[in-house]
Amino acid sequence: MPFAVVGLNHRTAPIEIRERFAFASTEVTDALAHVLEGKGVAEAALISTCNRTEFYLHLTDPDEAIPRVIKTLAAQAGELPKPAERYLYIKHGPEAVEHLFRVSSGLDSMVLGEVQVQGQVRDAYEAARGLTGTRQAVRAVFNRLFQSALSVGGRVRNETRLSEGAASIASAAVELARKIFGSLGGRRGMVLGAGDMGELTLQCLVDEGVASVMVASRNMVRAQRVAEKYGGESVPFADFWNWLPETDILITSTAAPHAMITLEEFRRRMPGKLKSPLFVVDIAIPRDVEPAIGDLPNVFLYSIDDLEHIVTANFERRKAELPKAETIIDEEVGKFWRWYSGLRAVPFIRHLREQAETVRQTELDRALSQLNHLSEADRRRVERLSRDLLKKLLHQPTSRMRAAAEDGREHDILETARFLFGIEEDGAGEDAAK
Amino acid sequence: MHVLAYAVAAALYLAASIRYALRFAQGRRGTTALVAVLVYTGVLSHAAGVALYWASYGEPPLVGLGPSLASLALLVALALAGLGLFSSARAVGLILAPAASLLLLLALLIGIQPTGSEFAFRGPWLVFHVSVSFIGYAGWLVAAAAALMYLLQFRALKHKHLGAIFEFFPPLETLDRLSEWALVIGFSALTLGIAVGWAWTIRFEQGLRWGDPKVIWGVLAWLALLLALWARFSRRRSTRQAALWNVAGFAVVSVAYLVAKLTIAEARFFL
Repeated sequence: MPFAVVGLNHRTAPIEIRERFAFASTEVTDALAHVLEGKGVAEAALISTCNRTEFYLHLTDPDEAIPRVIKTLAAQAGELPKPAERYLYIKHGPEAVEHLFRVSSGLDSMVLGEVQVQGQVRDAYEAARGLTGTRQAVRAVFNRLFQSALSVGGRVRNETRLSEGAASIASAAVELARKIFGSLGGRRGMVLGAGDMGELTLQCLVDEGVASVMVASRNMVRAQRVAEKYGGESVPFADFWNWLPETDILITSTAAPHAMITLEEFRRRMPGKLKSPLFVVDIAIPRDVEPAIGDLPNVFLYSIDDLEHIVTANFERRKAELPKAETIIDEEVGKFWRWYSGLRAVPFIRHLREQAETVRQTELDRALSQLNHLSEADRRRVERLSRDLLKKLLHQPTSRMRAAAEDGREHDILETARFLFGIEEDGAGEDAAK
Repeated sequence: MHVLAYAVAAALYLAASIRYALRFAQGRRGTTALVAVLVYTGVLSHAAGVALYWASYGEPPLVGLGPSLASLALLVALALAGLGLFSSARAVGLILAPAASLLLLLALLIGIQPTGSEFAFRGPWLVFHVSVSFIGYAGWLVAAAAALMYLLQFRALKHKHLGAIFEFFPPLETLDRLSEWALVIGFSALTLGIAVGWAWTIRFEQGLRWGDPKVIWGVLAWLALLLALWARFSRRRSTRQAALWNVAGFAVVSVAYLVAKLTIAEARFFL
């Protein structure tokens, strides 16, 4: 089988093992060059993210190449509690192609249907394309393979709902904020507490364009650190009420044992009705915001339970889309595999064309030498006639040859054709890869 | 010939409405390119219908109930086509596409040809008065549709019912802005239309007949639109209250129109 994937992911290894195998982006080209240096690898690409490290290989000699790739991975990981092979999987042929397509579609991700992996596959492809010369990592076959993988990812996302809806508490908060405010550009956010979860939610909101951020915490050092990190401002915890009227999005994640924002206090500090919406994300346990505040006009209050319900519902919906996504992947693996199989006819077709071209040129020269009375224009016409004739005569047999190869029927047909046209056999796989 | 073009447009709007409804029912986000194609082709066919009508009767389709409804439907469809350029607001077509279909189908049922008495003053005054008034009504319809969707999306978010409405409807901010713009355009156009109509009656009929149902209804619509606009820009009203005023005003004026149309004999000649 000419394709293989060798690697590990979140299913076969825990995070502390995965991070040992991971390659930094600056190490990827060296690792690929090392794998390509030895025999048996025609093309290679390396995907290394927090959830997976995988070498994709187009092989001419699997027995020679795969042990070398495992050795490269083991060397990267260093000393491990178990032998490196225990964490690795090796998939061959159409299974390896299917694996790549599943990865790029987000089916093999920790968060089903995640979108970022598509970009990571693209980065891996681009990094491999960066290797040129004698250690060229991507040629015709991998170009087609990775372009297909990216297009399959696009199809799955467009034709199914696999990537729809928030998949984490933080992204659920962002999705709700977008439904309230539209674009988050220019909105003002405030975080009470600055715990890890609050910071994560804040990061998602800042990534979406929230313009100014206030961080209020009893721990001023931590508040200052978080505020600096996101280009915001830290304020003493007791002052947060002063800033609340100018806030659009409030995230609370304090460790207080009771509600920090009570209805009574809220009414006292924010007299009158809110003209524009206030989105409150209370991710503290116990809750920081009294639930009755959610009944006030223009206040949208969501607790951690509410956000978890959203994430669970979205996950169920994503799971329901799996059969559709898998049908697309099966279809695309079949399409790619037919194209790849068709390449087996390429060396023969090339030789046939070269042989026919030699005959055409010889016969044309002979004929033209006897037709000296022809004008230059007529000589060009004769030459064009010979070329068109050859093209038309070869079109049918070569396309049928390719179709036979795509369907896996090429063996007998190629044998017969070689016999009929007097063409010797050659190394089809290696030739096609080049 | 113009009837065929109008019928094709109505069929395309109807197809777009069904497509919108299906996407909504499936809880999908946004619309597809097919909807845009249906709406744009419908508008082209509708415009062809107007041109053919004008060529046949020598006047734009603004006189008589059928032609008026057909022209109002065109303005609604044009607004829908315009919204198609802004992806975040496209979903308002869930209301606008059926509205355009319904208006045009009603017009086709009634018959799209000039009706009523032969007014001596059919000409630029009438064309301008009716056109800007229709822009006013169409603008208000868009504003009310956006306001209604705002109220439903607000309710979904407030009560955490994150189903089809949450998924399909645009964000609150988008709906509020759209409603605000449509209100401003609608109010400006209707004010201009009423002012031109007043000037017209002074020029041709020695003053406004205050007992005329057409005048009463026009003034009622203008006042309701003014109130909706005031609620939108008042510092004391929330955006939700403004949306409520807008939808309620539109409902009252629409019901008043239907009641007048069905019960007052004199009202049968207007719109």
